[in-house]
Amino acid sequence: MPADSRRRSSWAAASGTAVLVVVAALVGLTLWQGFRQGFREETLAAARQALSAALLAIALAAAPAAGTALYVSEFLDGPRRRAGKCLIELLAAFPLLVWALLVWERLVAGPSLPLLTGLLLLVALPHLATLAEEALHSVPLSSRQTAHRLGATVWQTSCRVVLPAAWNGLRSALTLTFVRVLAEAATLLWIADWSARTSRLPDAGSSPGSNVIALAAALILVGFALPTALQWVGSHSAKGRRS
Amino acid sequence: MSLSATAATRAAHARNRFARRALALGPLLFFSLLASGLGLLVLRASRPTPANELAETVTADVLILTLLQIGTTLTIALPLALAAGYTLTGASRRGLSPWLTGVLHAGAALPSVAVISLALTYVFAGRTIEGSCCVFFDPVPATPLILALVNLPQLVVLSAMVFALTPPASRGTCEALGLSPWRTFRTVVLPAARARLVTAVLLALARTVGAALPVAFLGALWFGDGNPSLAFGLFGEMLRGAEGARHALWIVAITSFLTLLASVLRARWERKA
Repeated sequence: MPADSRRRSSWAAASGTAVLVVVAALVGLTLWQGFRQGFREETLAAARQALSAALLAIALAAAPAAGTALYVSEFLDGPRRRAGKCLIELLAAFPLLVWALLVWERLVAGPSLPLLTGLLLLVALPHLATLAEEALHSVPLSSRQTAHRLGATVWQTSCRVVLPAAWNGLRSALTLTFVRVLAEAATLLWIADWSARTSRLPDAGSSPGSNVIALAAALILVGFALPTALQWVGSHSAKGRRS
Repeated sequence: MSLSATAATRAAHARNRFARRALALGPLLFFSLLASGLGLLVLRASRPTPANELAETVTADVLILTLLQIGTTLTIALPLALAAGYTLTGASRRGLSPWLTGVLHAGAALPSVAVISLALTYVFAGRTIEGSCCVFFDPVPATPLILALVNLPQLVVLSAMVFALTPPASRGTCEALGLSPWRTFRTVVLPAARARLVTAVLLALARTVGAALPVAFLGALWFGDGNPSLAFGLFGEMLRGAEGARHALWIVAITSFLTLLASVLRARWERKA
């Protein structure tokens, strides 16, 4: 291996490791600070609300998002596929803040579970559909062509070839959408709570929200446990199938 | 035998037609959501109410600053995420990946308000508007840094996912030919993943714009000085009782423009690939 290539390789690996260390430190710091602050009743209630709304939003978004991704990836081709994907991404580019604006009064009055779920659904749906489409489209073309040559229809190819091959990508899409929705839910709850308490512009010297770090620590624990458990179950079931 | 085979083929084609029609409802749902969201915003912005008269006009400075914030955030976060994605892809072969991915998922679940609160507590602690730190914070350099930190875990997971989607056969061929991991990554994996990385950037874009609000808001709370970006303007208007729909429309216009631009770029890269 040339020395120049080896140097670049180790430099990229070192900077990548540094980034991972920074993220791990940020997670650790939040957990430490959160545990030091303690989990008060209202923090736990907010975490429960964020978690149930995120789970509900993901459950409601999964089927329509997967269906849309399947349609765009498998039933459309060329410019039509690009237009379909662009439509999904245009919706994904809508920040949650803009949707929240449309129901601001109700949000500040106290966000109910259906309202919060509805708002999070608008984030989860395009996010999940975009990632699922990428996962489905990355399945090698040769697998599809072989199935078509054997006389399978597009629907049969999608169900028996594409979906099983893209399963890992779809699982990653689901977990990533879940953690993103969880983070957005916490931010929304905090902003709504702040606005309800102080209807004024910020003054100098005020302190930032205190129990937000405890809330973040609770969500981090969920964000770590749920995807890791899902991955563990996935890898063990794959091992079981192989043996 | 032949008759039953024909019947099975007919049934399969009928199921295919039904699936095509049923799944076509998905894009229709997305289109109706997009159209109704935009319609409601335009309706609110054009309604002549006393609340709307309170609204400030969006100046060119605000738009430039917002674009600058988004651009700087992605310029900081993307190369770092690519490097971490490269490391993570290598680590997955040594069996470390599930734990690292777990930590990254936990990082992606971190709300932006918590990141800015931590930054204010640890980095800017004890500083006031008179301090030198304010120059660093307001408005350009520090906000993108914090937004990059908010986006980093999600971008790393997305880049690692995109790199993992590259067919292992092409990577294996390069390694069998004696190419170093870095050269394989630079000449095979990165060009193949380029078009897909656009999706990762677009998803980070929406989060950057959304997270800019609490970051700008808490920064202003701490230093007593507003950050004249679109997100801060929107929140200020909402607190004053104005509807803020004009600011929201500008935000949507910027993100839609960037999305369309990225789609054109991706189409070109896909054609080349």
